[in-house]
Amino acid sequence: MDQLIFLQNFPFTEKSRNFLKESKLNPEDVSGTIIKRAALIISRANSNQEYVLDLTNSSREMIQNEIIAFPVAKLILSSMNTPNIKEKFSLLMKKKTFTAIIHHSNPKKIALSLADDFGIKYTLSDEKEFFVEIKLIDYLDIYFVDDESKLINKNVSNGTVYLSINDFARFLSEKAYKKVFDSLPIEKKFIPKTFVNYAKTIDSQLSVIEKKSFDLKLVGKINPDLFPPCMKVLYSDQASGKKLSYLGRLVLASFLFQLGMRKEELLSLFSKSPDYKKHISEYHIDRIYQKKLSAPGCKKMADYGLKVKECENECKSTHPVRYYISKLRYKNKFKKQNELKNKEGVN
Amino acid sequence: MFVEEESKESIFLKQKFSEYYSKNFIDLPNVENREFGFGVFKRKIANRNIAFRDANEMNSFLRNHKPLFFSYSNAYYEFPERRPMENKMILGADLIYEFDADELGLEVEEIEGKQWFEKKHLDEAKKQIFRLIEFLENDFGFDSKEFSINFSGKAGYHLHIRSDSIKNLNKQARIELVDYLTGSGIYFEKLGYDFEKGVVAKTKSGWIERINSTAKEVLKLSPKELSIITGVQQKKISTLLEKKEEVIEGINRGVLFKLEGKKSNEFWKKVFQTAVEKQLSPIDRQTSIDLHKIIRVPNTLHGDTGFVAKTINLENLEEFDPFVDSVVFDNTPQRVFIKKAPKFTLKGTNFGPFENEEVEVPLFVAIYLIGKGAELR
Repeated sequence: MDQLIFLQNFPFTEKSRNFLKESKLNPEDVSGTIIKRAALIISRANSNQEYVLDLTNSSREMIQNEIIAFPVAKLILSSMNTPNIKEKFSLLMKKKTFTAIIHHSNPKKIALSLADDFGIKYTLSDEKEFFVEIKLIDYLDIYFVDDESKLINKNVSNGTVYLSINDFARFLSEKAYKKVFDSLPIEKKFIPKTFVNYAKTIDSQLSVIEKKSFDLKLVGKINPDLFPPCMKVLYSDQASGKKLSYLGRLVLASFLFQLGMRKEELLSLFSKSPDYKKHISEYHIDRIYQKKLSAPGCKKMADYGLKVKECENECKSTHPVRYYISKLRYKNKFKKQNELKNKEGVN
Repeated sequence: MFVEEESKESIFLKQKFSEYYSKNFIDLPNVENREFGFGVFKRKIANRNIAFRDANEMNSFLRNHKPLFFSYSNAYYEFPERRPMENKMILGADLIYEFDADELGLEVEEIEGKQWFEKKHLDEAKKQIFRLIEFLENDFGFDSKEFSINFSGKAGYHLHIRSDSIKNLNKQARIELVDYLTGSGIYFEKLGYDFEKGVVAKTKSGWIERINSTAKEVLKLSPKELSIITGVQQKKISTLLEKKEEVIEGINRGVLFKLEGKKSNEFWKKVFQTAVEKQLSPIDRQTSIDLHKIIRVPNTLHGDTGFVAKTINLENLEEFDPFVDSVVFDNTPQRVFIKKAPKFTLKGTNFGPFENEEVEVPLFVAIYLIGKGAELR
């Protein structure tokens, strides 16, 4: 059972791959239960949630299903169009790995088993503050997704990186990220047709969820409900991962910059773009901040083809930022009046 | 195709450079997998995406096209001439670190947009190369036999590491190395320091050793200087430094003495931050991170100075003087008109200052001055 739990915790390992090979499972024959688990993993990944199971009372079959759900999820998401799903799925596996090591009854033992599976060369450290020592070049073979992994904050000497058990668990989770990320997407010829259909269904469901969350969510202190119609459309499209034109992105980013959105928030929003490239987005966002670019007025928005039909009925302003400010003032005034009324009521 | 402005100065420099390349064969590892670029008068890179079958073909290009600047990629490609970048199919890349004197915050005389570097400026860049080597050997465990150091031909030095162990490092890994060298993103708490509790990290780490030893040096500054650095009252610092030896001994034992008042935490943090600033290696980030960057080919000429970007053995680096050892042209007299030039020294001889005058100078000086805007007469 311990072995099965290891495979479920780390389904990307060689051990797990061998288990699947031995089970001679045909992807087309997997049960509906497994498909549902795979869909759940993808959905959790998309919403940046953790996927950790309490397996203490699970049956052997349930754990086996979980192990199989991992490659099934990979097959499905390889056909999906949801933006950055590959990164998000790898991130989910990274978090799952870290949690599984740290919360294990014997974290050192499980970490070493995983390191052996990854083929990592390590030496158990004689220094009491550290658990293992690994070669710098081996330590650098990750994508440094997490700031906690930064080399500068590690103990480095003479080509060796000294790691505590916590640092080692983090390093192994980065390794898991890399292994999963590098294995995606799976070539189309290996994906059963039924899985392509599942991918489409999950894509559309995730898109609906994204749109709903846009309606509910406020980004920082900025309230998208108060956006003018043109910006609402751009923002909603961007938040749900649609591909915006260059001008559309520039206009939206400069509008949000004017409203005081922070760089990281802007970058996070634009990371939803299907053609997202971090360094390019960073470059453009930096330029907006450096040049203090303002959003164009309504006339220019029309010239750019970014005016929407609701603008005619709902908007009497000449500039999107002016529209937002007036709506915000009205909202705050209304809120204050209500507060005052409530206060008077109490007295 | 870029249309070159063929002034008589440009033609003259090209002629002289061609003569140099006819007498000097330039060698470079993995020529066939590198992308090359070249520059013309007043323009360092006018064309790139060029590839050569071997060093012979490259040298033939140098003799015939007479480029005033000649650069190559740190990356190796399967198809170095292809465009765009992704079609080149990267096979790996050297690690390159660059120091430029004009990036070190030094005061350099500037006349009509041209900087006039002196030996003292380039000595400062050289110091940084030694510091970098200390990091590379002691922290990263790299073997100095894998280093190839060359003068940039103008204002700094380049250090190339060409080894199989680093060739496949991804961009993120290269950023991590640069962040490490430049002290970017350092968190004292994560290294084991706790200024609140007065704890000094003591574990085995290149940075920790560096920070601790430099922090002790910082404490040797006067209370007035320390007050400026830390923002803490001079009086309180003086009281602490009355027992300076004990305080320093405390750091050796991993303990920080508490400063009177509430600013102890802030004081120590600033002292240790200053130690980091004094020890970091101010390399050019972009050169080390950008896998598609092209950089001067060692032992080629620099069109702004006429100096050769000379490869230097590590054991000769201390003695190397670019204003002597990189000067390759002879003493043939040459007349030039100079608008303005300060006094400068080449090959141990002083020249200038000049202002709106036509002078006869040795060829190596004429070429140096043409790079700074002088006209041929």
